Amino acid sequence: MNVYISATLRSFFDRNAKLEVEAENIRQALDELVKAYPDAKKGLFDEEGKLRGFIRIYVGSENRTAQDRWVIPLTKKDEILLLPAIAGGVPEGSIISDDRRKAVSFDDKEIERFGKHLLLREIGVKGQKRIKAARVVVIGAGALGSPVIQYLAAAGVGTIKVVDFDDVSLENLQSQVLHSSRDVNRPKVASARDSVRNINRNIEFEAENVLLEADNITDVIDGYDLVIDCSDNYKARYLISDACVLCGIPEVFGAIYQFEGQVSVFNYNDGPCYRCAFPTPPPAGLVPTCAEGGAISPLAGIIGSIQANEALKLIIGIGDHLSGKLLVIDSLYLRSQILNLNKREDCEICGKHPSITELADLDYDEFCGLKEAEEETPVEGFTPDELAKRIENGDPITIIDVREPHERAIMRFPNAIVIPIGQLARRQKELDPGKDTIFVCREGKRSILAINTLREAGYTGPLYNLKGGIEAMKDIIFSHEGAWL
Amino acid sequence: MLIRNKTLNVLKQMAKDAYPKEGCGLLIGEAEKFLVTGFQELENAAAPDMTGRHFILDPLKVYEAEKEIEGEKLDILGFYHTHPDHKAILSEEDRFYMIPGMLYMILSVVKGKCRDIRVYEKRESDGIVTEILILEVASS
Repeated sequence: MNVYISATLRSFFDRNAKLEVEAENIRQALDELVKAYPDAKKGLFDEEGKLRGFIRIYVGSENRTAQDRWVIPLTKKDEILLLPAIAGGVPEGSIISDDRRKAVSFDDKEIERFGKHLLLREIGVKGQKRIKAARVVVIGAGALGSPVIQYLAAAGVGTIKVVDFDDVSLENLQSQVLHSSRDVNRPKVASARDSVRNINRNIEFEAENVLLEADNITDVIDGYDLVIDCSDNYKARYLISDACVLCGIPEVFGAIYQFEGQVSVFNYNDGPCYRCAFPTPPPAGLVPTCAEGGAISPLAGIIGSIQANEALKLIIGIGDHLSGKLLVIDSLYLRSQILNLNKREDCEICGKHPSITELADLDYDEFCGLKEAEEETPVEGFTPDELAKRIENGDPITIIDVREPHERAIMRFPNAIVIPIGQLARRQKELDPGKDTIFVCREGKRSILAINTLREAGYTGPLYNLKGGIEAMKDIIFSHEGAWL
Repeated sequence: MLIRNKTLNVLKQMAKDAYPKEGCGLLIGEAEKFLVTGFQELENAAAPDMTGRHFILDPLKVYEAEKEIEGEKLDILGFYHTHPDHKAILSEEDRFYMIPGMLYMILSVVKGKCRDIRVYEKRESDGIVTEILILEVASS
């Protein structure tokens, strides 16, 4: 019978297009071909004797490449076609190199444990090896850190470092499902370690019980593959993103507030960084943090799970991800959208002419407005004791509460007038310039912003800040109930 | 590898047109002169949701195409495919399917623009993959 050799495979057969062989099936025909052209053996078969991946065998229009179909009897009229399999794809672009992937192996238990990943064509053994080889830093073991740490551990990430300086408190348990009642007052990283151990003892867990600052963050993240920002404040977000840019590490960003969450991937493949997306932080105190503003319990689960999913895709090198995009999810009205983020050429750290080349170049407290403001007219304030004394004395004072409604619901400040910061300038007529006016908020920062806002708006009466806010005031005990009234 | 500059320009246009999908096909010319004078685009037979990241040529379509090409007394020198939003480097999948002695051209198309073109060959002698220099020649 005749064997047709594709033009692309003829170099194995002295450039012959058609060969005649005595055979009754494909297997015999291949044997005959190799006998006649010994060099073709290396071309057609690999070291283990398997047909090479780039060859397809057809009879007529039927694909007979699979070995079990080589024994199907053929007649002399049939023509065997040796054709090329031409296929390929874009490089997978994993953040884990092939060398590191190849250095990883699995035992039987791991094959069983990760079976559901191995079943997926996009992950498979190669993807799971990348996951095991990966070294990931999670910053923050709070609401977002909870799902991130647990899913990364469950997925089999080989090395997980968790950074958090805080202890578990009772109020954390509403959303931080990593911790349980018995963990209250323990360091969050210790509780995180226990959770990860319970999931998989083979995971290399590293705990860093430190508050990240410009002078220590590089040591904490340098040499890792990926950083996941699960922090809850602007200073940490800028610090983490800047450090990731300087260390060349991609970052998965997540943030939640009340019912809304955001996710993005920064500093990946020359994509934008956090500073490209948000060049400056909002004025200190204007936007309450998640701790001050609250968040619905499962929101952190939703956003953190998406962060973990993004992290795994970057590690495996599959799918689309949120580099250059910001996913915004509104869990109250179930809306989500993806906004485009562009890299800024004039970005202070990842742009063409960066002004920040070392973290020490920038005072992050000052940048985020967290330093005691050294302004032209410093804001005067009362300590809680001084304010308590004035209330007890019945001095003529006006107290303005600038907190959000839900904060007031937790602890009301009696006899205070409620004016949100945004309405202050407009409602300044409600204030009596002849009386001392004292501004209160939760921690005494937003109240400073309120006073400055009012001064800018031209208000001239005496304005005071409650130092330390209502948090500092709540331990004061008045000599008689009537003092409040 | 020699390629007529006109052919190269049409190839670049094809790569742009295929974006964001992967375009693919055969490089045609005169094997003896190592000269590419044309190409034949073939359908990307990958599953519809995979065409942005993968390409597969139907072997029977290649068979049909090569009969036509031989009828015109031309040779198949190799294959080309595009890498949408990726560098013009071989992926592991690309390497797996490489036939020794054939040329593999990759056109990198970033955001709709053809940014880079590279050609690779798996040597017949030792199976090592090397990059092949592209030389443009004026169209005759």
